[in-house]
Amino acid sequence: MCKQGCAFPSELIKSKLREDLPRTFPGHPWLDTPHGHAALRRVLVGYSFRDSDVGYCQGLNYVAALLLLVMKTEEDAFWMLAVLLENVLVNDCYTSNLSGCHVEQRVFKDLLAKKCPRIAAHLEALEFDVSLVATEWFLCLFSKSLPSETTLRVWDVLFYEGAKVLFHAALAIFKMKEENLLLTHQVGDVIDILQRTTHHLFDPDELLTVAFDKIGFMTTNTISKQRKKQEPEVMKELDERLRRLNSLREDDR
Amino acid sequence: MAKVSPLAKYKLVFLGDQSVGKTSIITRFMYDKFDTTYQATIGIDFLSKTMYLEDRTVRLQLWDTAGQERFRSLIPSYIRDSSVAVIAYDVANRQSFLNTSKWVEEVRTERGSDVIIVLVGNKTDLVDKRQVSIEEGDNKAREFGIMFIETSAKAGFNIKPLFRKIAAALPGMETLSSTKQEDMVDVNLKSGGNSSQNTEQQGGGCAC
Repeated sequence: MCKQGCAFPSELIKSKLREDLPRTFPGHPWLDTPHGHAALRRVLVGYSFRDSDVGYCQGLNYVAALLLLVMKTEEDAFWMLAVLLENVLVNDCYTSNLSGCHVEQRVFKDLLAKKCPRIAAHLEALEFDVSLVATEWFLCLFSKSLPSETTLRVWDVLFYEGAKVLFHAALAIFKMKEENLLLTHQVGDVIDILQRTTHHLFDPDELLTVAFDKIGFMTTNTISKQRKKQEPEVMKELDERLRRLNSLREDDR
Repeated sequence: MAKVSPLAKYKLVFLGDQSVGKTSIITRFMYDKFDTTYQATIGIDFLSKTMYLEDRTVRLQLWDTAGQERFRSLIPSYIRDSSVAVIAYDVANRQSFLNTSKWVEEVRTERGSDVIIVLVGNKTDLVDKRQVSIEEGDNKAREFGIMFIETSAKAGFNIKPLFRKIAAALPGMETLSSTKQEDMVDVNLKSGGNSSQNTEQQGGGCAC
């Protein structure tokens, strides 16, 4: 039995995948064909067997799809996915309540305040929470936002140097548009600028230069410490939410 | 120079299971178009639009969300900030209809009864695959004391009426929220009249 209490988790996953496969890079000449869908399904279902806590999480479809395109074989894509989730990224990014993802978002917010204080202060005044754009960046590892050439360069460094690279790249995107972002008056304008920037970042060097030369040095250790600091607060919030939901259910009874 | 009138700003959050058409409904409303394939939304997406009504102009902020269950933990803060929750299901997918109760619960947990909730049965164009009747949808909405409408983002059916219904239910201009003033800049969505840019629209021209 899986955590959701269904007797056939793979059936549930397959039905979710049926909806998501055609919605993963739609229109791609190979991915968006019956062959492509079937290959992607096998990689994702295969991974759900390997780690039932993760099962299938939306976002992984994009990651696995790009891995398939690069690695060519399903087996290699599968193992690359496994290495990413088990050795490279922080734990629990994709499990039941995405707690790892919540932690990363808070760490990122703190880093932005430290590395780009003017932007952070301006966004705060607009009531713009960085998780609004960064959740997708971190869960899809930029594959849904950056052109694939650029995504793959970021991934090269990601595999080589670890998850801190995601923070470098994310900070760089904000940093590159600092002046424009400071002129915004509305949440929508901030999102427009960031989306337009990411969609048109065809030159990986442009991004990586800012990510590593202008953002400054960060060690994996620094990030780990930041995560440790954020974890208790995230867990507390997630628990409180569950408690509120449960008490509402009891009231209904 | 005439003073630019302040805009009342309202936040709408779109909820509902995976693949019921939340993004399609928003896209049809925003751009009056429909793509056969949308990328699955991951996390949260945001769009805003100014709506010109007979007696007032409102700015709607639309928060689009990912439908998978585990993503619900990301949404509470957006629900907390929203005055409207649009809970969508797919009329050709009974499970998505059953799960709307959970979504209502989620909204009530964060907002109590201080929120406008609209239940939306989408994909009415899938006539042969329908699993949820309009009566069932209507009954459920009554049971929860929330609004109800059926739509087809694909056919452009009832999308404008959905948003007009929401606009009509919004608190009046006199209770204008303290949010910042903005200029009116957006594309006009004429009240009553059919916008001419897209002729595919079948039932979207609103008479309400």
